[in-house]
Parts: sequence; C-alpha cells; structure tokens
Amino acid sequence: MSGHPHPLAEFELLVLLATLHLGPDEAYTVSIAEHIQQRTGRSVRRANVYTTLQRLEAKRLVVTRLGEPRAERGGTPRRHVIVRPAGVAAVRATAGAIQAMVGDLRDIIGETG
Amino acid sequence: MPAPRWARWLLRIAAPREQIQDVLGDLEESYSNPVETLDIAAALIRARVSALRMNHGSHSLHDYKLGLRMLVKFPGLTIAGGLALAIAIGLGAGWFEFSSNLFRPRLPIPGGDRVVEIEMRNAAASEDERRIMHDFVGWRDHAKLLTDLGAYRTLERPLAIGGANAEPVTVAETTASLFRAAAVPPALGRPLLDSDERPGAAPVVVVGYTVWQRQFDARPDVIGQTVRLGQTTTTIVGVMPEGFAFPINHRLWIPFVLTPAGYGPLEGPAVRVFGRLAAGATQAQAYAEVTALTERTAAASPATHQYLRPRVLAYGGESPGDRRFLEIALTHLPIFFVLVVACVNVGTLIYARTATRDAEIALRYALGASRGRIVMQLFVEAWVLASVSAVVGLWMAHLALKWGFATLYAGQIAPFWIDPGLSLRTVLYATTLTTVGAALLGVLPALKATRSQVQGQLKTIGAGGSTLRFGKMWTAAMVVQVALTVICIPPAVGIAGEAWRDRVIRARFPTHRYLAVRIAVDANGDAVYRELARRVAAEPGVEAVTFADRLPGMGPKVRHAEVERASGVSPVEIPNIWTTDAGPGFFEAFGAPLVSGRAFHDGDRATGARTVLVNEAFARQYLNGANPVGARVRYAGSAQPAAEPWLEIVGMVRDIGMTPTDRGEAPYIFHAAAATASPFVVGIKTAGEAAALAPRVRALALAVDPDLRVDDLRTLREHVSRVDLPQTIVAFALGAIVALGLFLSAAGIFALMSVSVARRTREIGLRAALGASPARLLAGVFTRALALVGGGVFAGNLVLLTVVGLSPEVTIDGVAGALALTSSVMLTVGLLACVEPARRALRISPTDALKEA
Repeated sequence: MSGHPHPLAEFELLVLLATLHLGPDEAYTVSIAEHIQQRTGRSVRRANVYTTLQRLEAKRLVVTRLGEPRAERGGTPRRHVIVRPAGVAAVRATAGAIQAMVGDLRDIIGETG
Repeated sequence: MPAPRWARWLLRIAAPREQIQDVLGDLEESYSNPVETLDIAAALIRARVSALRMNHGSHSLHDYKLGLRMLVKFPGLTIAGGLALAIAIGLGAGWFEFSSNLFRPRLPIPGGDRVVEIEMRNAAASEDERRIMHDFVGWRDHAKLLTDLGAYRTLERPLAIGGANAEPVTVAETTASLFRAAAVPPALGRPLLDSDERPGAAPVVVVGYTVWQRQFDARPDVIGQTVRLGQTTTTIVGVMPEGFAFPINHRLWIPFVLTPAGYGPLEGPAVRVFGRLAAGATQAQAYAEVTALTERTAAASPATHQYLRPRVLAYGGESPGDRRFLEIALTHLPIFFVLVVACVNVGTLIYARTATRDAEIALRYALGASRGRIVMQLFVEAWVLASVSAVVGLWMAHLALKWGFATLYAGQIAPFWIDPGLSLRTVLYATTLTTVGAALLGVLPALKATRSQVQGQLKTIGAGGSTLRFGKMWTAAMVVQVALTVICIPPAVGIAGEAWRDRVIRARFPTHRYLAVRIAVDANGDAVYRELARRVAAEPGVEAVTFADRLPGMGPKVRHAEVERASGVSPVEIPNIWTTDAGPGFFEAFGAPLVSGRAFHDGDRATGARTVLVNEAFARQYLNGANPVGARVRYAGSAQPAAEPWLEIVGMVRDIGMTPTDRGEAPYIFHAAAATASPFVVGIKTAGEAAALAPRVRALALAVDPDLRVDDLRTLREHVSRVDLPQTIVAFALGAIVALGLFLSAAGIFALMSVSVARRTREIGLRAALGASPARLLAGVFTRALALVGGGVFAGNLVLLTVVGLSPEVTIDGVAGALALTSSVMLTVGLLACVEPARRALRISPTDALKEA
C-alpha cells in the first residue's frame, strides 16, 4: 500500500465517520444510513450506502463480516462494517484537509459545528 | 410485519446478485422496525439502471435523433421496411389479441381464470345440445372438482318502472350460484339466494349498475321497490357494482325456478352451465369427472345421451383444457414466424443501408468507438424504425379489431369481458415484439458490418466502392423469401377468389329483403309460431313467413351420410352433406320450387317420419343427375357407432343459391320440421328493405307471448356477413401477406442490386472505358439477381408440386395455371426491382470511375 491515504468523497467520509461512531458491533447498512440521517438531517438513500460501502471495501478502507442470523431479518445475518487502519488514516487525512481549508474562514462562513 | 412480496420481488430483480441477501435482510429488518423503507426498491432500481447504462456504453439521445434522421435520409427503406414491420407487428398484435380472447379471455371478476363453462356436444349431429337441465342437476349434485355450478338462460323482458313506458332489457334467469361463482358481492342489498329458486318464492330481481343509475337515478332506497318485468311484479333485492355483467352482458338477474319433480334426459329449457374449479383441481380433472358422470347418464339413457359428449371450457373461450403446448404454440408461433420473415427482409434492406455507410463506420472505429458502441447505435436506429412501424401497425390492428368486433356482434349483446380494440397487455406484447424485431434486424447487420478490418474499410473511402457484400446468409434469406412468396400466392389467390365468388353469388340473392329472428319458447312452440306467423304475415309489405333451424346463408350444419341409389346397390358415401330442418312455406319463401316428386305435407312433420327432400346439387353430385325420388339416405359417420335409420327421398327442390362450393351449390338434405324444437329461426320475406320491419316483429313476438325469447333479430344480409367474416378476414390477411411478400422481394432485390452496383462502380467504369456494351455490362451485374429470383421461384414451385403430389384431391393440371401465374408475377416483380439499379449502373461515367481508381 502506498504511503498516501486515499482521498475520500464527501459521502464516503460520512459513511466512514458513521461507522466509526457506531462501532464494529452496531455498524451495518441500515444503522449507518439512519445515523447519517439523524446527525446531518439529510435524506440518505440506502442504495447509496450499499454502493459506497462496496467502493470502500474495494479500496480496502473497510472490511465486512457476517453476524448471527436474526429472526427480524427473515433469518439472514447483518453484515457488520469495520473500519480498517487505512480507513481511519483516510478519514484523518480528509478531515484534516477540510479543517486546514476551513481554517480562518469562520468569520465568513460561520461556525460549522 | 414482513416486507411486502412486491418489494422482495423488485429487489430480487434490481439488486446486484452479491448483495441480494444483505439487501433482503435489511428490508425485512426495516419492516420489523417501523422506520423508513419505501425508497429502497426505487433507489436500487435507479442504481441498477445507471449501472446497466454504464455497462452498455452511454447511448444517448443523439442515437435516437440519428435514428430519426435516418428515417428521413433513406425514405425508400423507411417506407418499405416500415410498412413491412407495421404489417408484421399489426398482424402479430391482432392475432395475439384475437387468440387470447378465443382461447382464454380474462374475466374481470375475482379468480376469473378458474371459472369454466360446461357444454354438451352432440357428436352425431355436430351441434351443441343445450337441453341439459337433467345433466346439470347430476353434475351439481355429484361433481367434486367443480363448485358453485349454475345454469342460466338469457331472456329479453320489458321492464316497467312506475307509470313509465316499458323498455326491453336483457335478463339472466339464473340459479343463485351465479353470484357465488362470480365472487362479486352486490353494491347494495343482497344477491339472489337459493331460497329464491324454490317454487312459490316471491319474485325478486337484482339490477345492474347502469340500470340503477339510469332508471332509478342511483337512489339508495331502490331496495324493496317493485317493478314490472314482463308479466310479473317483482321486488328489487340488490344492485350489482359497476362493470358487473356476468354471465355475458346482463343487466338484470332473476331466479331460475327449478321444477321440484326434476328433469328427465333432454327435458327442460335450453340453458348454459358454468362453474368454478374446486381448489387444487385442474380443468383436465374436471373434464374427466364430468365425462364420467355423463357416461353414467348415457348408460342409463342411451336413447338421449348416446352421442352426447361434455366439454369443460375456460369460461368465454375455446380452450379445451389446461394451458397446453398447442395452445401456446398457436398463440405465439404464427406471430414469430411473420415477424422473423419480415425482419429478415427488412434486415436485408438495413444491411444494404449499412453498406452505404461503411466509410462512416470505419471513421468511427478509427476515432476510437468500440464495436459494441457502433452495434448499439445501429440497434437504436433499427429500434426507432421498428417503433414508428409498431405505432402504425398497432393503430391498424386496433381499427381492424374494432371493425371485426362490431361486425361480429352487430345486433346482439357482446360479452362484457371483451373490450373492442387492443388491450394494454397486447400493446406490451407488441412492444416486446418491436424490441425483438429491432434486435434481429439491427444487431445482425451491424455485427456483420463491423466485422471487416478497419484499414480495408478506410481505404475505400473516397474510392466510390464498398467492402460490404451480400454474403451467403443474405442471399439464402432472399431466396427463401422469394420461395415463400411463391408458395403463398396460390392459396391466397384461391381463398380470395373463393371469398369473392361466394360474395358475387350470394349478392344475386336478395338477402336484404329477408329478416331472420331466433325464437325460443318453453312450451306450445307450434301454437306460438302459428300465431306469430299469422300476425307478421298481416303486416304490410310481408310476402312470406316461414321457419327453420337455420336459414340459407346462416352457416353450415354438416353431417356425414350415405345414399343408396336403388335397393341392393352399395351405398355411396357423402362426407359432407348440409342439412336443414325446414318449416312450412320454407321453399316458397326462398324461391326453391319443387322440381320432381312431392312437397312435404303435415304427415312428414310427425315424430318418426322418415322422409326427406334433397336439392338439385345433391342429385348432380351423388346420383349423376338422375331423379333422386325413391332413393334412400341415412346418417352414418365415424362418431356414430351405428348408422341411423334409412330416410326416403320423396322430392327434389331447386338450388337456393346461397351456399356456393367448388362444385356449384352445396348438396342439401331437408327435413320437415314442426315448431316444437326450440329455438328456431323465423324467416320473413318482405317486399322492400326488411330492416325497417325489425322493431315491429319484436313487438309482435312479445305481444304473442311475453315470455318468448327473441334473439339475433336482423336481416339475412347481416347474418350472412357475420358467417362470412372469418373467410373475409383470412382472405384479407393472406392477400396482405402476399402483397407484403411481393413488395419485400422487390425491395430486397432492389437493395441487393444497389449494393452490387455500388461495390462494382470502378469495375463497371473500367469495363465501359474498355468498350463493353451496355448489354454486357448489365448482364455482368444482373445475372445474380436473375439467378436469385429464379432459384426462389424454382424452390417455391418445387414445394407446391410436392404438396400437390401428396394431395389426392388436387391434380397437376389443376394447378399448372396457378404455378405459371405465380412464376411470371414473381419474375416480373424481380425484373422491375432491377430497373433503377440498372439505370444507375449505366450512368457511371468511365472517366469518373478511372479518376477514382
């Protein structure tokens, strides 16, 4: 793997952040979509979460594992998402870049948090 | 709450395979926790569609625009190919709609595909037997695989509400099980109940939605109101919802009061029987059960049931059993055959167009377009042509079906489940056909055109030539098409000629001066008829009144028989003999006087009488023109284990001239009939146009007996048109196919020659420069066209001669004229198609060709 972390698109960053918030036992497609929706207030299409997770897995930023079969899911297991160290590095780099760019602009754009 | 089935189904289709389990699990979980759920399927479909787009190259609006521009740029191909596809798609859609309704119409009631009709067929007389109350009661009491069995008959009754004038309405007199079989609850009140069928029960009626809306102003207090229906004052107990008209197209339903003593074999009124397949039962199993029950009746009552065979049909259709391969094949194969033939032809034209564009294709290659991208563009162009053709074809089919429907049901009630014109299902089917057609005629030429090496194609740019050539496949397709056209011409000409002949012959008979009406009566038929005939005959302009089981021109009742010329001489077999049960005055009314022997008298109408009359055609065809009086005939056929008793021919009448065949008028046997068999057809001859008398006849009939059932009241001309309709449709369809075949053959040959001339521009120019004469130039180019047309004509004639050789009824002498005609028509068409390419070839200037070289 190269030394430079992968650059992340905005939605990829949100998915990775939600996954980190939820932790390895609670992060899966439905909860990630709900988490982003709750925290950001924006409508999240679950199909976008699926494709984003596929992309992140292909970039080796996350890994997934199957949990126990669950009755409320018609007997199918949840696919839990775990952020790999490379994913954490990518989040750090992207978030750092954003913070660096925002820097002294708070007077213009106001508080972001 | 589990996720709905439609969502799971959509996801299975839309989700990528590797994600299906996860996505289904998430969906189930979302439904078990009430959170947002509904956009998953839509989002996934969108994702899937965009993925498909990315995989197949981004064909865009530009391709469609280019396709439309191509239609304008190549008007010859647009007209020829578009017309061919329009006819093919129109014929396909029309046949799909027609055959769907013929075999298995969709009843707009819950579980309509489980509703069946049980018919009884008299195998000896080749006609339906409707006096089946005895059988109905047996089936209803003993059949396990059929539920809610019911019987009904159609009546026309004057409905009087309050002091208003009575208006005739179509009434179903039915067992209460009709409402259970239809599984449609009333909008107001109650349906008919079993208790309403009992003798002595208070008369009640359930009214249809339109009657309630129009005649009762949709008042909710209509329940309990009394109306006068015929001679009976009856109470309204229910109103059916909008659109309900089961069993055919009925507006009122009254209870069928069954006789408590039951019915003997072939006793009781003529009825139709319907039912619903029991849960898990198939139509074939129900048929086996009904057959077994009928055989039991036949064993107990052989005199009445020996030749009776039940049939369990999909309700309103002709499907004899559960959906079978034959039925599916009959529905779809003719469509695909016509479509493939049309596509091969139009594909030839498109290939020729592609040949003129190979420089453009080579440039696109050189600029980096993939083969898939170019194939997709050519497919879209073909799809645009096919779509425009489909719109035209569907519009034509829609009009044709509406016309056919109006002709078929003129003057009578049409089934409520048939919507004239094309259904949405058929339009969707045609859309699929269009895409399949576009794939056939767009992708194949495109693959062939993009197979060539790009360098070779680029070299030809500016050289005035083309690297594409008509290979073996296209040449073979052309030969097959010419051969198919040649094969189709004789039957098309034969059937069209027959239809025309029948039309011309029947036009000589003044059918517009005859009125025909079917009368059904429960009892005292003879007295009712005599009174009706007396009243009708007293009307001004009426010249004669008679009756028969069917009037001349109202379709065949054909039986298998044998005739014995003289005692001791072995009988001559008659495979098809037309029979009619004729009432008094029949021959006078239809202008067929007695030629020899004697006419019928009242004794001939008695039960057990064994006398018949025949027509002149009978004597000509089976007795070499000898006087038939004294000869004997009897009915005997493969469906009958034993021949019926001999009948004596007591007279011969002149041919009426309404049933033309290849050998003149059809041979007839006439039986003397009394008006006891119900229903019978009353024929009324008038001095002028008979149509004007129709309302008066209906009024007179109901005045004679309000319980009389009057049906099919129209002129004999309308009856004949209806009987002729299938023949007319077949003649038109075959004529259209032949015209299409000739047209496409000409267009194909034209395309082939055009490509050939384009390819050989330089060669032709060089040969002209070297002094070749125009005749030699043309011979060099067009030998192939002649060989192609000649090959097709030869192959077609070979097939026709083989068929003639296998058929015992047709001789080579009889078809020689047709073969010569076919061959000359085809060769003429082929040569005409060569004219324009020939002119083009001769216009090539040697100097220009040399410059390009």
